[in-house]
Amino acid sequence: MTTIICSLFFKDARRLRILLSAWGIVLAFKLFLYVGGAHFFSSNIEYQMIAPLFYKVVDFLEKVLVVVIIPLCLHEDPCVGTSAFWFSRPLSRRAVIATKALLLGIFLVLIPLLAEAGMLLVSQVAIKYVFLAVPEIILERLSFILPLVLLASLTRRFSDYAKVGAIMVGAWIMLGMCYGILYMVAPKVGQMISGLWSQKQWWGLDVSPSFIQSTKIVGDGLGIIFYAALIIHQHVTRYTARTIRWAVLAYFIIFSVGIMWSIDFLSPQAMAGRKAKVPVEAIQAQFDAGHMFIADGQQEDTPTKIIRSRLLLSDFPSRYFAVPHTESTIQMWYSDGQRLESWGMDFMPMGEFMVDDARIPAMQSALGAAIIKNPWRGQFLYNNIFESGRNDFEKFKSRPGTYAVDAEIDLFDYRIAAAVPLKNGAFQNQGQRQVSILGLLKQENDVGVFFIERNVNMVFDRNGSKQSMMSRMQNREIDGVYVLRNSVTQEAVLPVMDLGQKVSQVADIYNEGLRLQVRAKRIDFDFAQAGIVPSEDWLRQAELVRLEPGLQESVVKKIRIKDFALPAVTTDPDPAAHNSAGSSYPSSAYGRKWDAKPAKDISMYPIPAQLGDEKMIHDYKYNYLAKDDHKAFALSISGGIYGYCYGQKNEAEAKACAWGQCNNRRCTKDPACKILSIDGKIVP
Amino acid sequence: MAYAIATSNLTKSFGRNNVVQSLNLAVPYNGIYGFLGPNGAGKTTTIKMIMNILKPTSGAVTVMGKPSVELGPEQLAQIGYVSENQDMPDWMTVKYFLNYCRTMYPQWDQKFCQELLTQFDLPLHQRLRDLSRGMKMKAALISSLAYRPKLLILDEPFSGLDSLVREELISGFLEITRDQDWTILVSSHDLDEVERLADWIGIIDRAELKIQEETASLIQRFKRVEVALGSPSAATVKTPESWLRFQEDQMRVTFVESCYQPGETEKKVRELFPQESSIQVFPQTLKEIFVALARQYKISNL
Repeated sequence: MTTIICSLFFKDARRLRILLSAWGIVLAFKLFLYVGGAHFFSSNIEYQMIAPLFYKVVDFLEKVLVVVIIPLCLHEDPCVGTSAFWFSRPLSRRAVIATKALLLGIFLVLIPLLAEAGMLLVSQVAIKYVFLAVPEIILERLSFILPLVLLASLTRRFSDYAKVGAIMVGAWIMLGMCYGILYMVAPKVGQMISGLWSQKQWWGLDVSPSFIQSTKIVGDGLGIIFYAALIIHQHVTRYTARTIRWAVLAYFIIFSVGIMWSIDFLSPQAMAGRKAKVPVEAIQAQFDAGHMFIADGQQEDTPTKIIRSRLLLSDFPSRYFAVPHTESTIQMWYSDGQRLESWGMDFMPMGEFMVDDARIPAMQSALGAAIIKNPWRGQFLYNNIFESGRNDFEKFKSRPGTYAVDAEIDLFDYRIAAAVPLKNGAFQNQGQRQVSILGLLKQENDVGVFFIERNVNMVFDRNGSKQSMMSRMQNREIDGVYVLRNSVTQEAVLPVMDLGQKVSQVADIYNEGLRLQVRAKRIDFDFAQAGIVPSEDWLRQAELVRLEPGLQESVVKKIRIKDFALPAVTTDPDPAAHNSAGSSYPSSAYGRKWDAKPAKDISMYPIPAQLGDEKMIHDYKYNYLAKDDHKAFALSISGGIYGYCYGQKNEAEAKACAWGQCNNRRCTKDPACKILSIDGKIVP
Repeated sequence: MAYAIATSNLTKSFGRNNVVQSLNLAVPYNGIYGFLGPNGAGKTTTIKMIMNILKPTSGAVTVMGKPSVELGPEQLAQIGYVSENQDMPDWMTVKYFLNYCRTMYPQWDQKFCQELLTQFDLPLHQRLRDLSRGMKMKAALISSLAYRPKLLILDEPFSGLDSLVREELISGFLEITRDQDWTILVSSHDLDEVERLADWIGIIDRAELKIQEETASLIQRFKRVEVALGSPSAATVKTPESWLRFQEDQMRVTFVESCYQPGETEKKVRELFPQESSIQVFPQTLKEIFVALARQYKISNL
């Protein structure tokens, strides 16, 4: 048996030697980019921006090669049809399947596993994380490979495999298109179908990143078990029709389990078994009456009114900040017994982890003695608080009642996850996160810090924050904040505006799902508002501190706000921004002296949408520039690279500032570089 | 009597279509069995069931005393199988191919393999995909002969080859098997090639086995008889059922006797045709026998 397996193994390896060599080269290159981004080119910001894109291309190429290698390997000794050479030879079915498993296991699972583990070690990732990566890599590889192995086991030739694969992909695309058309033609039916995917929300489950990952692991694990069993079944029995029937059944089981699964076994360990210490009764809730905004909405064919405001939660320890989620239907109770139900919505539809000024006390608590010198930046996170049909709204507006909802309130604190001296090349490896400083850019009012952030993102790490594409889409991703801290003067400065992950969009998008995420970032710190002169001494003494939010407690609060009336008029000072920006309040729209400006003086205008690169316009059409802050400026560069500035003293400074920003993105080399507009006026 | 291959009411259906029906094949040990039938008769399906490549719908097959559905590596190491329908690992060179096959058979006879290579004159370093059809068949034959299988099953091995190559292959095959104690089942739709090889003949048509008999007995049994008459036959004569393809004109009668017995047939002729002036008996080729039988059993033409 062993001789036979060896003979088959070397036969297959010889047959696939060219493809396997190509795959090996691609894998090596991929890992070189992977680790290179973190290790070899840490001083090269251009590389840092481009490497993730290359990485994705190479990663895709690697997957394509795997997609090709698997059928070629399986079809060497197919288990479909009646003409395979091995059928009439003294080869046991077990020997054949063992050989295939050995070859694919060694090349497509073991080698990538060892290579990636090695690369993580080279990148100074702690051994604990490397061990955590092992099951994740195995799961990831197997869940990708086994469906392809099954498909190859059920086909006889590569052409059949490609055809069936194309049909399956095509069917999915068609299904998606049909769903899209259905949604347009019959929105009710469409919504009913889409409801399948949101069962978890209906059941009130917390769709956290760890929950999404738990569900995915269950789906992947089931897939691996089912597909492996079906592959063995097909090889042993060669009952192709039965295997196909069972494969379809298995797929629906996996799909259904994915929908029904409700256990989050990857939830952060900090929460496990923790008893809430914050007395829930003590937590107070009220709305910010000065920031009420009424927006027009639509549900199916019915026009609605959406009320947005800030849900201010107080009377919990200042080291915490609160993130509320609706647990029940929001209702208005009126004294005559009438009840008005809000149409299903969560408090936090967008931007859960945008930096809200209300969270600054929690930051201050984490920073200890160093006082935040620019605490007021006018960045607010708005909550959707009610939605009803327009008729009901008209009927009940301004009528006092009790606002009632059960809310799950997640209490987070901030902890220092990294503190790196502010000098070129400074590096800190703090468990899940590594930070290394690339350089500083001093401007008149700001200091820009360039740095590389490496984040270990392991699925099975129950102590770390979780990230996933789905969690990002659902805005449930926890993101930290960077602060400059001077421990000598005990001063701390917050960024001009912390866009969190959006600081380096390209890198972030292509880092998606990597176990070691590398981001090149630039964050500008607002020294002007802090009233600090960023002297050489100050900067030498300073360190870049990353504050990481961590979920500490989760309580359910019955919120009852008495004498509350649905507002008849918008009290928000910036309705225009809301109209375009949707439910998230665009922080970039605000000047830093927001509180100093009477609301009536502020008017907004958009960057002209008819100009420049479409993508840039798409990305920034919602960014409004504050006219009263003067000389706002935008620059459009081909290829979607851009620079813009606002709040400058005059036109020349605004221009220089935007040009400088663009320069940082190397767009001055681009001959298409041009000024788009100044103060919203088109530059000819 | 023990048979190398025995089928019992073997039936294979694809949907409603019976490809093989109630087949009772008996292939004796130590001989060459010619399995004949027109294209689509069910030969290949039968052979695939014998080799446990296809599962019978009903009935059973025994191969060297073992039910075919239980054939495993141990039994397959004793069976050689060459088929025109078999996929070959075309990317291999002849040398690599034979070495690859060698690892599967503990009893592989390398010396014999070398002899076969010399006899068939195969280019060792050429890939199978670059070989002609005849050469590829030779390579397949060597890979199935070199371990001296007890049972050799050849499914249309000479099909599609030009006559020169076919002649070369058949001669070579006869030479190789002459001194071997092998049991061979060879299927074909070509009667001429099988006639030279087969000790036994089985004829299948439209899923059913029509005839199964020793070749010598068949040839002994079937004779063409020409009877010259002294005067024209006066009345219509009722001929025996064993007289096939009976033709009569005024002065001459011809037929194929399917149960020829020296003296007895002549006696019968004289009884029915007293005016006969001479009787000549000619041996029949397999093809002629088949044509005669085709009418009787309504067998499709080969």
